[in-house]
Amino acid sequence: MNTLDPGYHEVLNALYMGTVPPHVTPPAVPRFRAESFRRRLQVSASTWEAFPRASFYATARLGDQALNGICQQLVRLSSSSTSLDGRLLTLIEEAARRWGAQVEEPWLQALFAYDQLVLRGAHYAGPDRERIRVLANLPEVFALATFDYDMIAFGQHIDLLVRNHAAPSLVAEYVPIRRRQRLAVLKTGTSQQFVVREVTNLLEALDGG
Amino acid sequence: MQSPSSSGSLALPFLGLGISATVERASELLHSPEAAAAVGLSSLGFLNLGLNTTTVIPTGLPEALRHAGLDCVVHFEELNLVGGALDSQRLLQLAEKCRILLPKWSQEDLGVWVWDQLPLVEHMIGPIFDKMSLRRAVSNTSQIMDVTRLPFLIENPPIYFALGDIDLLNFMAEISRQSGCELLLDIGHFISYCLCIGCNPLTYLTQNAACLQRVVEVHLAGYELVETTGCIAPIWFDRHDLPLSTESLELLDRVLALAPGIKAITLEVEGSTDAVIHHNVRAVDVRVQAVAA
Repeated sequence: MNTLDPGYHEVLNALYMGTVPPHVTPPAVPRFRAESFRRRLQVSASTWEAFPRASFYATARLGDQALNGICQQLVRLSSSSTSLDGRLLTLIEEAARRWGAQVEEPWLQALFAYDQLVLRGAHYAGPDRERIRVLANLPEVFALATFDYDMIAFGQHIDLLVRNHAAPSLVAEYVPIRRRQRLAVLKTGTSQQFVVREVTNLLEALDGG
Repeated sequence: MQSPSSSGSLALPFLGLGISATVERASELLHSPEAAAAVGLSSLGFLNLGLNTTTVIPTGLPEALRHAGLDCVVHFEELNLVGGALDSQRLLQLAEKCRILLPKWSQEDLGVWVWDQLPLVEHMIGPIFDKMSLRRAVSNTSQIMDVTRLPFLIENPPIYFALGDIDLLNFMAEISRQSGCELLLDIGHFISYCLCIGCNPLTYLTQNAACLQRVVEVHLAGYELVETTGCIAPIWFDRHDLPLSTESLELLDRVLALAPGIKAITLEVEGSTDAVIHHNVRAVDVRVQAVAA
């Protein structure tokens, strides 16, 4: 629960939103802006680290709206969350995830989920885990997710755009192909990185589809 | 600076020179003669220990401090002196840890350090220097002293932008007057405030010498100034890993001359190499010895 006195909440909100509250007197304005810049920079950096493709794509398509939306979520989350571990970086990541889950563009939502899947690879523990594992020849620990878009192609295309420092106008032109896709994420024997494998057809057989 | 034989108005003991440390680092210094020699531990009178609710005090630390002839003070890291009511549960947990460490006093920077469950750390919100914050700080400070049953020092925090219509030194002096707490002046933080309001630190200090009567402890650390466009003065960054600047030492000399009740100087040294710590200890120890003599 938010317990900040009046004035402090306004200051915190303004620092993250890049605005200046009316009670900040003119001599303090440049400093306030500089501090706001530093904090928003950290939010931006942490978001890019946690969601590299989604951040790149969101910034290209939506501009400042992306960073502002994440900062807004951060301020909201800071005053309400007791379930997270309390580290600022965790909060920023969660704020970005929440913002990404509610944006209007469904393929951007999917890209946030894809980044999270690829970088975090949360262990799949559904009741059909063992059947899927055997059918798709997966290791003991793997993650699983279903998308409405061709995320493997979309992810690779975004990586290409990032590598080539693509201008926002180029990035904004690209949207993924609509196609139901199921992805398994796993680590191979030697790799420290997660590997994404498409298992759509295998699992459709399992589903009887 | 009051020597042990001075009879000041404050009943607090003279501690001399100390360095900041986590409890783990303190334990290492006290159990390793090499580590102790590398930082010049024999020159020190106390350790300033960071304390939060997750701190686990190493077994035998209080005894090791006593054995080494060192006192300790504790620096809380998560109490909001302004911005809202104190988290009573958090305060009780810290008070419990104080009963193990038996510090001579405790301290905390003015500011909002935790928002609900979120430790803000370098994203802390500095105090708004106005009457409402002053009332809140008086209330919270009184509560801390009631619960810990220890003398409590409020510290001027790092300031990146100054808000409110009361100046820093008068704000702190008034909290002290109303609550009975003592004051702690962090030289680097003080410079950051002066940069924000565009005043000369030595002049501001001298003009407000009356506010320094209750200053009991001074903090010193390195800092970095970064020139940016859009700001008249450079931006200040706390850098505990850097050697002390000449400006900091000049300010220390002025504070020692103006504040009659100083009992302790803490060098904040987190992240410093042993060589930097040794350099800083030597630079300040000379001054402590001169005044104590």
